[in-house]
Amino acid sequence: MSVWPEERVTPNSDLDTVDMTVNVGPQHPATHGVFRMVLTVDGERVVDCEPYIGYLHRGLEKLSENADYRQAMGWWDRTDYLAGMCCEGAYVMAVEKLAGIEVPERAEYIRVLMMELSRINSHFMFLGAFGADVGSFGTSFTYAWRERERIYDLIEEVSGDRMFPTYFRIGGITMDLPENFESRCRWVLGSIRQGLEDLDGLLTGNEIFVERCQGLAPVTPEQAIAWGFTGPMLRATGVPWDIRKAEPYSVYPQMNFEIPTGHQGDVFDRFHVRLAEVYQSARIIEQCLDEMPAGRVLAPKLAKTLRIDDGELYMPTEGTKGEYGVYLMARGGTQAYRAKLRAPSFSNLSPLKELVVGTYVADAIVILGSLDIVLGEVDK
Amino acid sequence: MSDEEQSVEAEPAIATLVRGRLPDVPFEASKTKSYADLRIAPGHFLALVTGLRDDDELAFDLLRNIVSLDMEDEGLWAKYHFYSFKHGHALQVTVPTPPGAPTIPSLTALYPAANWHEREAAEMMGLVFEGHPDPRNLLLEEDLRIHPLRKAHPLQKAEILQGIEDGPPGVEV
Amino acid sequence: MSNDTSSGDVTAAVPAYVPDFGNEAERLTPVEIPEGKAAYRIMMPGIMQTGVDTVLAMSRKSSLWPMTFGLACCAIEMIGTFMSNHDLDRFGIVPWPSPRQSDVMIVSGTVTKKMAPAIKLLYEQMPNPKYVISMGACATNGGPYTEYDRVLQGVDKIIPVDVYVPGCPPRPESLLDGFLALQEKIMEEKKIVG
Repeated sequence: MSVWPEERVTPNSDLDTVDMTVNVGPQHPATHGVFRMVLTVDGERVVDCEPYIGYLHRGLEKLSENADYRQAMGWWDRTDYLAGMCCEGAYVMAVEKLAGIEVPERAEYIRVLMMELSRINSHFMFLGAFGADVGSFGTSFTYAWRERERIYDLIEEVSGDRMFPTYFRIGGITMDLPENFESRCRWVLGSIRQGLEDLDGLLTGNEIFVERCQGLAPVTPEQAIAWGFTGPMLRATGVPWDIRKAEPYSVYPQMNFEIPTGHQGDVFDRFHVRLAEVYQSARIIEQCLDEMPAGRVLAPKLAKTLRIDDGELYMPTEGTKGEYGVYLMARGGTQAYRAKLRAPSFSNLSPLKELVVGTYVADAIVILGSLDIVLGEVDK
Repeated sequence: MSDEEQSVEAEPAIATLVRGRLPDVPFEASKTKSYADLRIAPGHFLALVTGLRDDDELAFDLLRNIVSLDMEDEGLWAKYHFYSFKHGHALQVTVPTPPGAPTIPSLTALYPAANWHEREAAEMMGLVFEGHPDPRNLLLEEDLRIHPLRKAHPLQKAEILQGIEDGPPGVEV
Repeated sequence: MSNDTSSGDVTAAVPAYVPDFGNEAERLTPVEIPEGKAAYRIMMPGIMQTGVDTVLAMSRKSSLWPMTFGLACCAIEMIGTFMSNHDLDRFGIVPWPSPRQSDVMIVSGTVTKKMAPAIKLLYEQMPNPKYVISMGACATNGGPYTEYDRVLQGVDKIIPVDVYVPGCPPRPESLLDGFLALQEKIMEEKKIVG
């Protein structure tokens, strides 16, 4: 006898049913932010899904056009608010490339170190929140937060603020690392590996987790590329594309790390890819600590006001969710003429209807969790 | 990434490749600080993009980004960024529209990724994408007909005073 | 003690004992008992009599259940305050997803004009007595995004706020301080009906 109710009972074709509309509203306990989707369900199966975004549209682009290049960094931090320094790094590198400013090598190494710490931070948030979506409501969250607090303490020690340290400057970074940073950082890396083992042990081998996640919403590479997926969503389908290797920037060409990929692009593969990426980020941080050269941390002879002549560029970087791209157009003056953010979560979220239709309501929540969106990026 | 050009006048290598593979499409090539840029009129845009996607040597299968620009007297422009997984090259395409007629053919049929990018460009800047299956507001409320990213759209007054000296929000006191 | 040989009055030889207490009368003046009711009165060992408003206020402040209403970046610090490092559970503060059963609404993050009707609806769905903590600069007055015209310049334009917590984002300790200030406010109010 089969497990599923509809296969045990012959469907009664005389029964009249009406599809119900369920509003998974802007406030809901799955802590992904202010996102709304309207599901049309037939019993327990989702028949239609309409995502509504824009509840956090705060005007990053308009405000960046009306402020100095250096002032605008504060808003760019807060787009991917789980990994503040990754966004800072992307924006600052784009402005430097546009202005033609050389950054000293020590600053580059410190930047990569901080960006990878932020990436680990964001992935731990995903692991915690995804475990909560699938069913282990408090446990995975608390495990993940132990490591996140340690990383926050480390970032606070270096720069003064936990989440949005405007630590990067156009031309380098604000100040050098404190003493004993290296030993503390290595201790935190050890703790991160321990935390990963805990989360791995809690989730990956868990029969309920595997049953719920494996085979759910598989995506082929062609579909993924057509939809504009980048980052772990694309790598889970099997395409080994990472901007840090394909279009490298900063000191990533000198780093040794692998690109974890999945097989079928389903929810379990996305989880597994992000889990494996944390190990690779820890590797990069260790290499940064080993190879960091001595020297200055801010470019010499920077002008008091930053004026950039006519020019434009698009700088793609590997953000935590995918391709975090910064498009800048300068037409003289101290303010950007146009600054646009290519947000990875925006493209990852757009085919939600195709991913969710046909699954159960509970699976729709799990799929939404596996997309790992952060609404600050989506709504800009 | 496009290869370095030999002299100042020569156009980028990727542009020469595109010209060779799609000889009927008229465009102007230039170089930006990151990628090569092809400038093309809205009338020939769809032919260019179909060629970019379907041709074997070009094979631009990822539409990364659509940027909408308010170039004031020169009209509203749109810029598209493409990437090819097969060959590893990237490209930028600029479509300037004349002032007063901001219409560009939609790419949703060729690249499903363009759907949400075009909706956002339409509401933020006022570009009209012909043939878009679902031209509703995305980030703004459904009934608003404003274009916040235009240079003519003002910023809000920052609230500095607190207390009863203020009038209700939106009123100049 | 003098051995007086002369005959005469024995009582006149011993001086009268006049105790001199100095300033003790001032020191031992009892405290002024103001007009009004006592906080509590112990009737018998183990039984205490107090006013209902005190008991209600104490129970309300000790078990504030916030509705998890994370909008943006401040939500991450709010979650961090609920987690083990800066535990809020020890104050009786348990995050509760439904507005119908929660006491406090922590508005953490930027309020946009698109989101404002939803916030009003959620506030109206909460039963009395209810309180609002406006967490972060964006909920206080628009924060760093105040000049963009799609941003509501502070959540107190649509709902009444009890405690403002400054910061961008406020540290977990700051949010904790905000909760303690809210608890003081509840004890001061001491209304029987909320």
